[in-house]
Formats: sequence, structure tokens, C-alpha cells
Amino acid sequence: MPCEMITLQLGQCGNQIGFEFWKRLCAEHGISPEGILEPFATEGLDRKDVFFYQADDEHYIPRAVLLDLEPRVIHTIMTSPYAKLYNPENIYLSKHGGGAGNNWASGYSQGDRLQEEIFDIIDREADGSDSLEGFVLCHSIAGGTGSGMGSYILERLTDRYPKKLIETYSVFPNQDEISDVVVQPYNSLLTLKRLTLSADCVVVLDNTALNRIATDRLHIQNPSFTQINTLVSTIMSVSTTTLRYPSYMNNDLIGLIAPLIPTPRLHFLMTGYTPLTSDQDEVSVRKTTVLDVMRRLLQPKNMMVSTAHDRSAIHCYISILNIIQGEVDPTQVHKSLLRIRERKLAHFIPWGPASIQVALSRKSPYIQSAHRVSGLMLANHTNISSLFDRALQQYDKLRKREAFLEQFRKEAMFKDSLEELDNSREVVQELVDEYQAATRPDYMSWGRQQQ
Amino acid sequence: MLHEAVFALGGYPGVLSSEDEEKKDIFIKHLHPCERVLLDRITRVAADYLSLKKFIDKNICAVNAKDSFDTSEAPCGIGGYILAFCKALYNVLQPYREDVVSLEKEILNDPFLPLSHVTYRAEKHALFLNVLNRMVNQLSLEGLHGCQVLGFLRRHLPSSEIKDAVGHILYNCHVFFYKQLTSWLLYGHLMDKHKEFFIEHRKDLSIGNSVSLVKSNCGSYATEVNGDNKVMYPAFCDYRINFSMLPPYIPASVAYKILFTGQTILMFGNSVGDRKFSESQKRNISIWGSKEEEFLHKLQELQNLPTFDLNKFETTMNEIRACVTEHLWHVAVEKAELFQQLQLMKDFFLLGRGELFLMFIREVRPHLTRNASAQEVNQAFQIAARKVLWADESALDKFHFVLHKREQSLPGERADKSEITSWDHISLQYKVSWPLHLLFTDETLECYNMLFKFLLRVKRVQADLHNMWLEHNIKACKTVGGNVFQFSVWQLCTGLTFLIDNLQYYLQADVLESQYILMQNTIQNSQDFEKVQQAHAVFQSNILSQTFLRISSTQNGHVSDGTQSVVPSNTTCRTEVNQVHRRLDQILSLSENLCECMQKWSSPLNEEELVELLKMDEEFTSHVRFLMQLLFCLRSEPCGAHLSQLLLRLDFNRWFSHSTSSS
Repeated sequence: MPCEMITLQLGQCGNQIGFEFWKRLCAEHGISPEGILEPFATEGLDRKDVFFYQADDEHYIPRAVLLDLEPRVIHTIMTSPYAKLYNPENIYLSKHGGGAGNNWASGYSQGDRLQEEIFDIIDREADGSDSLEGFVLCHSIAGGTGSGMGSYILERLTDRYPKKLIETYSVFPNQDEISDVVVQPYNSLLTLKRLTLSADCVVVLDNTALNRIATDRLHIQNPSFTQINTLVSTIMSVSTTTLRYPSYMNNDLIGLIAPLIPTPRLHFLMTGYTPLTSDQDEVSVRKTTVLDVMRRLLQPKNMMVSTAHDRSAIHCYISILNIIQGEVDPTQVHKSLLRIRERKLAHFIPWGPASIQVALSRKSPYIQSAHRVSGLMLANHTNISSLFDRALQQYDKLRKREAFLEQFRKEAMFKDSLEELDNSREVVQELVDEYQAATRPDYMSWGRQQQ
Repeated sequence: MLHEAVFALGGYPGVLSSEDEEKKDIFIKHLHPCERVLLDRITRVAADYLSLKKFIDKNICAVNAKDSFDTSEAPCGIGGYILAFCKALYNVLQPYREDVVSLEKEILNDPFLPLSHVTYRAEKHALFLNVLNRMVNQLSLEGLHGCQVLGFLRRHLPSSEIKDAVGHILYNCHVFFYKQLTSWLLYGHLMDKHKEFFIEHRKDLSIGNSVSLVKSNCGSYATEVNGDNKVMYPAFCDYRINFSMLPPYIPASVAYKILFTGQTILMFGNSVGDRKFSESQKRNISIWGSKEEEFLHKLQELQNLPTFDLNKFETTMNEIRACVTEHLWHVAVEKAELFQQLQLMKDFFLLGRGELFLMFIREVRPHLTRNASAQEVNQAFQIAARKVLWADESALDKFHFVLHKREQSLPGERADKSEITSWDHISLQYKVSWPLHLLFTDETLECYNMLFKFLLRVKRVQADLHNMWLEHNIKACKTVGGNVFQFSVWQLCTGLTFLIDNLQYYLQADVLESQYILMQNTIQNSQDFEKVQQAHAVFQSNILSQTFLRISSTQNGHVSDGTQSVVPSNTTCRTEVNQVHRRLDQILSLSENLCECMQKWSSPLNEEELVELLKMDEEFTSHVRFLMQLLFCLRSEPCGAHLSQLLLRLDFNRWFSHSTSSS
């Protein structure tokens, strides 16, 4: 099928969000934790083959590759009811099981060492697909395995599959709490370089925003990983819903993201979701209209990325795609668009055509939801650069003090010089600059000069 | 002399009524001039009666003779209506005849009765007979027959001094009319060997002629079935309204209802050929169910009314029609699964299932680069369906592709264009299930095909642009050459992608999806098949005009508005809308051209290719400028609401309007 996708889950975080994602997909498609189609799942209008394939015995098996350097999360998965869902050959745990010690360099070099075994799995999975459209990588940019080994795999994937799309769901660290990973700024920066250069599309999942949403909007005192990851899995599943529940448009991943990303480097997407309410106060008294959904999606409080206010530039949307699920009247779309433009609710780039695209999508018939209508926004917004700017500042603080660098010097890559760090900083700085340039009308001539 | 007078008044040949002037003169010669004048007056009355009598005799004889010989040719002035007319006329003359008899008796009893008395008695009827005679003469003169007689009589009714008599005649003619009407309405049987009814069988018309006649006469009611369907579903369109026969006091709209009802009955009765509905012979009974008697009774009541009451007539016709359309609605919705079929039309013809056609585009492309056969195209479609795990086999069976090969491609045409042009030759065929052929006529399917080709083209161009985006925009800067990303390529690529993407959103969401929902609601809220037909006609008309495919009717005859088209089709607007289509067509061609070139060109582009690219960029700018101007100018027109929708999508951040107005 045209849009088959292989999901790679790396490290603790990657595997956790991946686990929640597959749980959610199984529920939406009516597939049991053992991979068997539930008797009630007879509708047959969904496309399970985008993310699953059928084994000889009709079992549905996720096109997922689970990679980790330490066994804890994968063991949790393998002792859960979903243990039999995955192809056991696709689960790779490094033999020593010692992890990457939250060190990007360790993860990266272990990726190098283990690449043969890892790409055996990935290549086999790719060969098994009829027509592979791309890879989806789930990881965090702060730790060791997801960031380090993730970076390594990203680079290799680009070399080996130059025509396949590479999309990542990248979790950014929570800025509101003090991390136990002291080298997090180094890890983030080094990963950001790879995300900039090797990935085609990065869906940014900002733990800062996710935690704020969990506490402020969902009223969870100390949100657990699972609760946060449920949010993440919602984003992931809804962002692929037009692929899995086909309709007139956005039938493949490329069709979904091409309109969002006009220039190659500006490929970091924010997401927003509505309704964000906890189960307790679920009273849907009034009718939700398309306009309600679209207006709420433009509110910062529903965004999964916490952006700082930036005085140096008037930030703007480069592109927006709203995926709206549920029973809505398609004739409302036009009116909503008109209203949003009249009220200037969204500010767009001054250097090219841009608009809000609205995809109406079906919902899984097997999941009951109190909300008649829900919406996801995928947006390319220049203010995402504030996230990278923050990463740069934190890196600079650490780097100025030459703090914790000995951990990196242990690895061959950093033994002789820290050039890689400087180089990464440069790449990320260029990215921030480009986003800043994209807020100005002369972005195009700026782009030509950069060549 | 008195006897002669009575004889003449009785309408029998005698001296007074004789043609032989000489004989008459001899007879009159002996009379007193006063008597001569009186006799003259009697003769005039007698002549009127005689002429009426002759008319009656002639027609009754002619009808009888015709019945026995059954000549295939029906001369004018013969038939049930004339017969009824004559019989009623005969009845109307009864008082006169009785008067003549009593006069005769008086003469016998009283030999000295003066001639003036006879004159007096005769002249009581003079006006009556004279008016009748004039009417009959006019009838013969105009050669009226059949239902025309009804109109004729009705016309004479108010003006006539002999209202009662004409009323009686009209009543009798209506009796015959109702007989024909009942047989047509309830049994679909046209009891009309003299061609008197206002509904006629079409077979006697030459085909080419009839098509146009039906189209102009019957509008949306006369659904034409040609080609394959004609073989499958005969009978329905073989009837039409003969307007020369339609009594002027019955409005055309009612006549159409009558036509429709009978045709529907006929269709149910004649669909025996369709094996699936073999039990349908009984169906014409089951349509009515217990209502047959009720309607029969109602028609009887109408017939018994002394005068024709249009209100009651129309009400009854509506009741009968409603019963039929309701039945048809049920058959269409329940047996023929109307909603599923409409959904299929949307999924296939309107590319509602994008993933299937995206796959189809990929599968069929290699075939189209060489001269593909229809079979290969169909195979590619089957493969595509399998690849997207299409589960509904029965739906697939309903569709297949045919290729309309153009004669030989022009010698000047470039060979590498063949792929693009052969896309235009693909058309999608749909097996219409009974009785939905009333909805999905050949014309309708033709229009759907027009849309299908356009939408498939947009989809194909979009997919090509997306691939170009991936290869030349996203991936190019990651290959070993490093940053070879070219802003000039990007600018054109993004512009085109944006335009095509948003065009597709407009087409699919603003037009197709929205109109479909409107149609669906209308159909669901009605129980009337004609409402379904109307809703569907409106749907199609709207989507055709809003996707800019409606071409002015002179160029494209098969865009049928239907008699009650809700869409105002402003002619000036039409030609302008075509311009929108032309611009879009140019932009699509430009995209095709660019994608084709990008595949051949080196990366990064060399000088020559860059020049070419800049040329395309300029072309794009000019197309966009024209399109924007067009949309801006037209959106305020009454028919331009949809244009402002497209404009909103394309110009959401006012980039195009700013950049085109400033340059």
C-alpha cells in the first residue's frame, strides 16, 4: 500500500510513547492486544495496513521496531497484555543492557557499533513492505538512547533510504523541573542538529507544555508518564487519522506534510488539540461547531509546545493543517475560515501564500467519546525557534563552564575535539536564524543569499 | 304544406329541404309571399338541424365502419371523442325532436293550424340549433379530434347561449377522457388507437427527431435512456406529451405528472426482462395495493362531476402521483440501495476515496506511457483496489473503465505528451441498477465522467507535485552535495503545490462534500422519488458549475437543467466561469510540464534549465494574476458565491492579491 510506515521506537521515552500509540491504534482499529481482530470490528472501512501487516495466521502485527539499550521499558511491554502483539524479532535490546547513561555520545557510538544488527531488522521490515512510504521515529531528545542512538539511526536512514520520508515524534524536555540528566543541554543540541539535517518532518512534543496541560487543564496533580503519554498517543494517532480512515484528501503521509513544509529546514511542527478536559468535568452542553474547534486550536493554551514570547520578531504561521474528527457540517468550514480571517485570529507569513487547511476525518467507530467533535492542529509556526533558542542558551551556560564534558570525552567522537558540539551549535543557530528570517517579508531573498 | 314543414323540421328529405331548387321554386311559387317568408324561416331551422343530424350520422357511421375494418390510418375527425360528442349532441337535440313530434300531432289533430304556429314552434329552437350548428361547422372546419375537442368545447362554454347543452356534450366527452386517463394512470395502458390522448407513444417518431422533441418538451421528467440502458430498460421513455392534444385547461405540470405516473406503472410492469425483478409483473398491482379501488373511485367521482374541476383534478392527480413516487422511493431506497449507490458515485466518480485513486494513478501510469488497452487499465484498477484492501467486491463490480481512443494523434504532437493526453481518454462506467436508471441517466453519467476526469487530473498533478517536493525540495538538500537547495525551484514548487492543494480542498470540501450533504438531507427528508430526482439534478448542476466545468449549453448539450432547475444559470456568468476553468487548466498544464521537466533535469540545474524554469515561473505569476483578477471581479456577481470561497482558500493571507497587485 502506498503509505506503509515503519515505526521505530528508541529508548525509554520512545518505547513508552510508542507503547501507548500502539495501544491506541489497536483500540481504534478493533484489534485485540494479541493482534486478533475483535468480533465487533466488522466495519472494514479503515486501513489497518498503514501501520499493521497481517501474518500468515491473520494476526495483525505492528510495523514497529523496538530498540533500547536498557531492558526496563521493553520488559514492561513484554509483560503487558500486549506482549504478543509485536514481532519478537523486531525487539532489540543491547546485550549488556547497561543503557547509554543519559549520554548522547554513548548512545551515538553504541548505535554505530550495533548498526548491523539494528539495520538487519529495519531492512527486513522494509523489504517486507509492499511500498514503504517512510519511517516514523519516536524518541526523546534529552536522554541517551533516544537522542544519541536516535541521531545515529536518523543519519543512517537518510543514507540508506534517500527517497523515503522520515518523520519523527520528538519529545523535548520539561523546562519547569530540574532534570536529573545534567548533560541534557548537550544531548538536546546534538540531537537537534540531526533533526534539522536528517529528518524530513519533526513533530515537536514539548514536555513542558504537556505537563502544564496535564496539571492546569486536566487537573492532574503530579502527572505520570502514562498520563502524559496518553496525550502524546492521542496526538500521534489523530495526526495519522486521514491515512487510516481514508477520505477524499491527505491519503498519504507526503500529502499530509508537503503542504505544511514549504522550505526544507523549517520542518518542525507544533501540535494543538481540543477538547482538553479531564473526564470529570465532561459536560458537553452546547453544540461544538467547526468554528469553535478551529478557534480553540489557535489558542496557545491548547498547544503542545510552550513557546516563549519573543520581542525580536513578529512570529507567524507558515502553514496550518487542522484535522477535525466527528460529526461536522462541511458547509461550515468556509464560514469558519472566513471568520478567522476577519478576526485576524492567525497571523501568517508575509513572503508567500499560506492558509489554514481543514481536513475532515472519520473517527474510529469503536472508541466511545463524550466529545462529538475533536480537532488536532498541525502547525508550522516560526515561534518554535524559541524552543531551540532556549536549548542554545542552556547549552551556552553549560558550555561556558565546560561542565560535565568529561562524560563526552570518554567517547571516541569527542576524544580529540569538541568540534561536533560547536558544529551542532552552529547548525541550530542557523535554524533559529532561518526561523527569524521567515518572519520577515524578505525571507526569499535571504534564502537566496544563504546559498 | 304543413306536413312538408314538419318533415323538413324532422330532418327528413322533402321538398323544403331539397337541394333541387327547381322543385322548391315550384312548391313555393303557389304560396302567398307572407307564407313564403314564414316557410323560409322554418327552412332555416330545419337546415341547421339537418346539418347537425348529418354530422352525427356521418361520424357514428364512420366510427362503426372504422371499428369493423380497423384501418391503420386514422383520418381526422374520427374517434372516441367525436363519437361521444355526437352521442351527446343527439341527446341534446332530443327536446327539439320531441317538439317536432308533438307539433306533428297537433297538425294531425288540427288541420287548420296556421303556418305561423309551426314557425313559432320551430323558431323556439332556432337560436339553439344555429349556435350548435355553427359550433359543429367550426369543429369540422378546424379538423379537431381527440382531446382537442375538450378544449374546443371548453372554449365555447362560457360564451355560448346554450351553456347547458355544451356542458352536457363536454361532460360526455370527459367520460371518454376519464376512461383513457384511468387506464393510463392505473395500468399504464394507453387505450388510444385513434391517437386522441395527450400522451403518445414515441415509437412512431423518428429517433433523432424524438430525442430533441422529448428534451425540449419534457424537461427533466422525460429521462432519456439510450445505449445499453435502452436495451435493459425499455418502455419508460417511449411516451411523451403531445401538446397539440393537451386540453388548454390542464396545465402542463399536471400533464407531466400524469405522464410520469403512467410511465412508472409501465416501468414496473415491463421490467420483466430484468431477471432480478421477475416478480414485478405483479408489482403494478402491489404499487396500488388497496388504493387501486380508492383511486378508481376518486376518478369516477371526478368523472361524475357536472363540470370539470381543475382543483379537484389536480389534487387527485397529485395523490395518485404521490402514491407512485412514494412506491418508487421505497423501491429505490430499499431495493436498489439508493444511498449506498449515491455514496459509491461520490467515492468513485468524485474521488471520495482518495487512497484508491491515488493508488490507481500509480498503478495505471506505466500502462499509459505506452498504448494501453482498456483491459490493462481495468487490471490496474483491480490491483489498486487490492492494494488498498478494498473490501466491497460488489461495489467494484459496478465500475469499469473504457478508453476513448482519439483517432491518430496529430503528427505535430510530441511523443512524450502521450501519457498526459491518454489520461483524458479514460472514462469510468457504472452499471446502473434498476430503477435508478431514472436517476443516473447516460447524460448524468457523462457529467459525472467530466468531473471524474477533472478531479483525477487535479489529484494526479497534486501527487506529482508532492513527489517533486520530496525529491527536489526536501531530499535534495540532504544528499551529498550538501546545500543544493534552490530557492528558485522552491518558489515555483511551493506556489504550485499551494494552489493545487487548496484547489483540491475547495473542490472536495467546499463543493462536493457540502453539496452532497445538502442533497442527502433533502433525500432523507422526502418520501418522494421525484424530489430525489430533483435533489440529484440540483446537486449535479451545482457541482458542475462550482467546479467550473459547466460549459455554455451551445457547446455542450448534455447539461440538462431540468424544468424546475433551482440554479439560475446566467449566461454571462457561464462564459466567465469558463475562463476560471481555462486558467486552472493552464496552471495544471504548467504543473504537469514542470514535473516532467524536473524528472529530466540535472540537479542542480544548469544554466539552460534555470532559464527554462524562470520562464515557467513567469508563466505561473501571470496565470495567478489573471486568476486572481477573475475571481475578484466575479465574486460579487450573483452566481459568484463559490468563487469567493475559492478565493478565500487561495488568498487566505492575501499573499496573491498583494503580490499581484503590487507587481
